[in-house]
Amino acid sequence: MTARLDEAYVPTDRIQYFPTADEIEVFKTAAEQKLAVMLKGPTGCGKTRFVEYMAQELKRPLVTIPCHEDLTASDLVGRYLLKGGETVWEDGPVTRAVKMGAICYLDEVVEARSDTTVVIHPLTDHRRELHIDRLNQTLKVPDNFMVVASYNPGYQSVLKELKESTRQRMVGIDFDYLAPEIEVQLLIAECSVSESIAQDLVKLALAIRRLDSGALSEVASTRTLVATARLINGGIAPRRAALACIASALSDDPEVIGGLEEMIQNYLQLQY
Amino acid sequence: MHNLDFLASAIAGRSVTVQEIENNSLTDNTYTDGTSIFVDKALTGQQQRDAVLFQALLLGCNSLHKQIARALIGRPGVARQFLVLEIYRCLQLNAGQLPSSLLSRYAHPARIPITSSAEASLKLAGNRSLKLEVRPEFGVIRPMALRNLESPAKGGALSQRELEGKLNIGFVDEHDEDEETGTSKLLDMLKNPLSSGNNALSRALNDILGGGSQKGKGEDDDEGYGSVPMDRAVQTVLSNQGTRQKLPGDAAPVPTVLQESQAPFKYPEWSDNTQSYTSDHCHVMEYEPWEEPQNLKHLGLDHSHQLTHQMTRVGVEYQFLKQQPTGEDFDLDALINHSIDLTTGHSPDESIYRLSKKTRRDLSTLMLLDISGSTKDINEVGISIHQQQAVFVEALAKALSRLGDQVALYGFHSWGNRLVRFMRVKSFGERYGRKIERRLEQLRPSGYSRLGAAIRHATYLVERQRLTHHRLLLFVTDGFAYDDGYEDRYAEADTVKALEEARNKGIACACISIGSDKTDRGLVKTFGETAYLRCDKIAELPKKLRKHLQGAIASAAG
Repeated sequence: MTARLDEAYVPTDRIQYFPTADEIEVFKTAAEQKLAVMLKGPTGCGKTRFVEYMAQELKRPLVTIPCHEDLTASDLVGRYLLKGGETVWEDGPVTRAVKMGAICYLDEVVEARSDTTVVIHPLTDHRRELHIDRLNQTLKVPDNFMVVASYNPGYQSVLKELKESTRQRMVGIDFDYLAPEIEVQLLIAECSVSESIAQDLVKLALAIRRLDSGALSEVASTRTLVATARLINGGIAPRRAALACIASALSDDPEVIGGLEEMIQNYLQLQY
Repeated sequence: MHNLDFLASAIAGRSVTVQEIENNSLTDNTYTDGTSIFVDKALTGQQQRDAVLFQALLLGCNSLHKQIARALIGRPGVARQFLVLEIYRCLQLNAGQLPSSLLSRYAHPARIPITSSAEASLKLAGNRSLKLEVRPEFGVIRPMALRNLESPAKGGALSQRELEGKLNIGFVDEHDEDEETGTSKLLDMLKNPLSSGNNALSRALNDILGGGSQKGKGEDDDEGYGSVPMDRAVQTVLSNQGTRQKLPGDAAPVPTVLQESQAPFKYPEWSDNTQSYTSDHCHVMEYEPWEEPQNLKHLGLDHSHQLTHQMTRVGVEYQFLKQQPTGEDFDLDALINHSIDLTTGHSPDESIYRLSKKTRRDLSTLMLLDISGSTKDINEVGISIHQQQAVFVEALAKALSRLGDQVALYGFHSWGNRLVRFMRVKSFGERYGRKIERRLEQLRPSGYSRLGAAIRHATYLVERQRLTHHRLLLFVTDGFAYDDGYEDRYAEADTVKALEEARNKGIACACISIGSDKTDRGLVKTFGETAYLRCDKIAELPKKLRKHLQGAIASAAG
């Protein structure tokens, strides 16, 4: 794994964010107190958007690391590369984030092996330092550096769990889907659909979210609603859009899709 | 699965199924019994949707709980008015959750008062001067079918009786009742329900008579034939055995026979007395669980995530092992690091090879679920052993399928040597999906367990699965085998023999007991200490299972 994993992200457009509870306050205080934060919540409920928004609010750069099984400690910290017989040191994303004083965002952190995630331990406790073995260097972590991890306690933890010692270093913020009224506002603001379409989409999502967990492993997230609304905005008929972005995205089982299709036909009108 | 199942479940806030029924009478159409919604076939597509929505809505708003249902018995006029009042009340109450097209189609007529609660509607419905119009989509209320419906707020999950599908009582003509008196002679029936709590008594008797959990077959039978050595359904089956035709309504329904030929599989049985096989002694038939939608699942004991978590690790190996000290090929990343280390003067890591091992998953698992009558026993928190077993095998089947393993799942029970039934939930070739889960939901424990024959047939099924090297027969039961003329030493000897036959064919055999509070000596003896795993609580199982299964597989391979 030698590919660059990230670029420091400094948002250009202003990011909109619709809070679900007091998460902004908790995050801000955790940032002031130099604590690491763990965002928990179902897929597509806005965890990544929240981090981007907070980076914007706190005026800090954001370094995102999508975690996966093959991620190694040297992928995070850095390694030597060979360039024409010479060896050149290349910082990993964590090292870069430390040097920049950025928010270091480990997306889907459970996907990484637990022996990789221990790299962040000395960064997040009282030590606040990063030791780079290969360089025999110790970097002092600046005050505005912050570790944020996200994970989905539903599906992913089926296969993997976060190491207890990693968990306990973080402040947990739980996310859930937005309240219906706010989700309607979000769809209108984000995708410029009419209020009636937004309302019906949210009602549909609510109905799907009420379903027993047995039939579906994931429910219709805000992300799928945004995708549906975008397709509708782009000229696709509402039911077709919902079929593509919700039913088809949630399941491969023809019976389940049939059931979802029936729900879509009930909740969405043919035309608006 | 009906396409409207999801919609109905979402509105009702619990799992309900939708079934289409044919009705002769125009007035008697869509209704619900709390677990299913029966929708009139004669309605048009849109009408059907609306009809299902209305019934689901009434369930979701808890308008049909048993106190109300009982008050409506024998008062069809009141029930009709109540239905109309409640539908408009619930429509208004839940406008935020219902399809907007539905709300616009059933705008609230000004002359119909909006009540504050179901009880208020009931009170008002007694007023004959209201003369409310019942639209065909509203369906009807069948109080007899709902008379035991618990309010979900109180009970949380469905009661055991409901889970067993006991709500589906036969049709009772409520119109015969004397409407004037406002009461019902049917109420007498309710005062003396069929299940008059004989469980405690039969349990006590069972304890006194020294029966283990196995010997008190049918003790939980609501029909009260716990003391009869055989279930009534069983006897019916036996007496009909020659022809195996339609059974009476309360007996085990006739499942679809799966085999091309109607002839049963015949297996020998080992006789401990004569020390020889009795050939063709046991007859095994395979069936598919019959279609009778029920809601058995998700009783608030969904451990499947946790189970899956552990299951997924059973036998998992990496396809390519990187950074190996030996191997067939260089691991490029490791090689580069090695070279860098050399250049920079560090001591290099010598593990620079990539090792490709035989890592393809190589396991077929046949799960054999004991669905004999004793698994109906209910533990202290009100969950039957069968429920726990079913939840477990479902999670395991799901996990193994997800890993790409070959998995089959059969339930089995028996009524003597001539009637050993295999219920096919999933055969090896089938894809895992909702269909499989639904079949599992349809299994109903009854009868006994003739283990030897079951193992022999399972062995036959696994043996045909020649694609994989490792083959596992996992038996999930609550206790040792017991059947007509099949107990104690005889049963033990035959089971040992059957297991020996299987292991000689290279099939790993393991046994799991869930929910039983004591180690079953018979099972330990037959399966052996290492191949037998017992767990009081399903939650404990995942931790132990991996080692258990790996041990069983390893011993068969060796």
